[in-house]
Amino acid sequence: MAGNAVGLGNFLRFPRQAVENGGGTFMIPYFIAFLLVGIPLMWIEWGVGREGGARGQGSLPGMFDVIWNNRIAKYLGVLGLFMPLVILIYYCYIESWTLAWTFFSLSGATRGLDQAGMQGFLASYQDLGNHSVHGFWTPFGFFFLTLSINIWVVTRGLTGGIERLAKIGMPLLFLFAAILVIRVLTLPPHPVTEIANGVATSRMWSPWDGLNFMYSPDWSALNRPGVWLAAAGQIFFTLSVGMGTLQAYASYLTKRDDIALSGLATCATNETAEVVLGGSLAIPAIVTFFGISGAVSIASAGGFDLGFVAMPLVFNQLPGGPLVGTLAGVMWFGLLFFAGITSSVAMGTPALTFLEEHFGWNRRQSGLTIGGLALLLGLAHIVYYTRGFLDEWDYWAGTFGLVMLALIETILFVWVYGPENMWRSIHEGAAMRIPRFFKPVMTYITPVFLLVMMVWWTVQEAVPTLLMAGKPEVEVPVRWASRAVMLGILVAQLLLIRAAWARRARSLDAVRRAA
Amino acid sequence: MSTGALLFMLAAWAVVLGLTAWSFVRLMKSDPGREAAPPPGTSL
Repeated sequence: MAGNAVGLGNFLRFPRQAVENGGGTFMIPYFIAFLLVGIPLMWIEWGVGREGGARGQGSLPGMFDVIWNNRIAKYLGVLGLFMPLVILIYYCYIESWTLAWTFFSLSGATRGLDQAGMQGFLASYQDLGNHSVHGFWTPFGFFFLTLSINIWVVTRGLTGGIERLAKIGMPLLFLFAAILVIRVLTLPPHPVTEIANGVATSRMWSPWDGLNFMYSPDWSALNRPGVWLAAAGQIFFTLSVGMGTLQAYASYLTKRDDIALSGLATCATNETAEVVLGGSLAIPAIVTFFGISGAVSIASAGGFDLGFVAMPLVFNQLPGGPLVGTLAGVMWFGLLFFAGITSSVAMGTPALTFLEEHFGWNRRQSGLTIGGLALLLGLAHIVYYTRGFLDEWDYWAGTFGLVMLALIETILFVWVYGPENMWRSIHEGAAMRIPRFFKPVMTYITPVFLLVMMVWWTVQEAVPTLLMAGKPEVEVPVRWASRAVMLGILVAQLLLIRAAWARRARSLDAVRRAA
Repeated sequence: MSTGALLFMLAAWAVVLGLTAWSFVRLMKSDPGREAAPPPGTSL
């Protein structure tokens, strides 16, 4: 579970969100959202998963069906198949960059590049039409390799594949991160020249200035709703809640297994990786070499500039020569790869389980089918990345969809199933008593928080995003095509759910007749 | 680094690391075969 939660969000998305939203100002709503939304949702998802699993359901359509005896419940559960599949496809593409950059760090391809050179290096990889640095097939090769590893792990099952990967990947990830944090925090101060209002000023920056920025809240900026939404959004993404994957894993647990303490341990481990390690890596390193305004401008330049442009630039300037820079690069991108793959294998599980359970497919057949689909649609992401194909999926599934699923499952598990049943269910087999404070939080505050987020995002972002406000003309047809593909996946999954339940009804009929 | 920022950072790290350590120690001590009683005041 911790392997699922600790992902690219901890090391790439978190520092970027923190820098863009004022550092310390971001951290206050971040911790509040963790307490009021993150931890409660973790327990709710484990509870939904175990309740479903106890009644033979390993994917969300079946879980919702047993929690709410209504014919539409199973169709609401489609989000638990749709989101992980859609996110898996584009997440694997981003994950393949980390594998590629591990290789580039080893080969020395990024050594000696300046900021413009490093940006060109990333842009050439992302844009297949720009062959200034990389060959046309390079991104396809790394994507194919990454996806193949993912599918291989998933088809080997929970114990033989996913758990074994987590046992190797998680300790390596924490080891690499700890070594890098020590290296970053012991960096000597570095001179940086900044230009403000046409006047150049130079000063020495140290990693502690980066931490100072991270933990100095601007109290007056706390009334900006955008900061609260960014913080809550980060909590969703980092804990992998609202995705359908935690429920699939929890369906393997019995009523004698603990979920209260284990859910809390998952949250705590993820926060250690994010706050203590992720927060002490990119921001202090980048502030040391670029200053605060430089870090803010890098974070605002693009989603991946911080991890794929600024960090390699930092490694090029590390004291100790090229060997230290190469080692740091391999560890940074290696840890990102391990963080990514332990999450992406979880995303393949719900769709795979659904095919196994409802259509009698074996794991290999299901894995290869999902792998084939991911390969086909992943190609569209590679080809049209620069025209917003991936952005659309990331927004509708990876941002908006997470909140929507979390809201639906909270209403079903807390209100339809009943607050008393929810509380009792989470405590079955529990190795700890959840503080009573959380019962009213999970009953009232978490759903209201989610509802406010949902309404606010719909008004502020979803409507303008839907209407493509401010998008360049050249991207519009690609973005519509991207949405059409997503809609096609959703409709296909709804039809599969319908077919699965029809199949089940036929089997029950046959059993009754035979009796 | 200012004193306020240092205190905020140390508090955040202490909470996160403390919660992680506490939950793992409790997990290792817990007996997975023993079912805890539901909290008082809860019923089906």
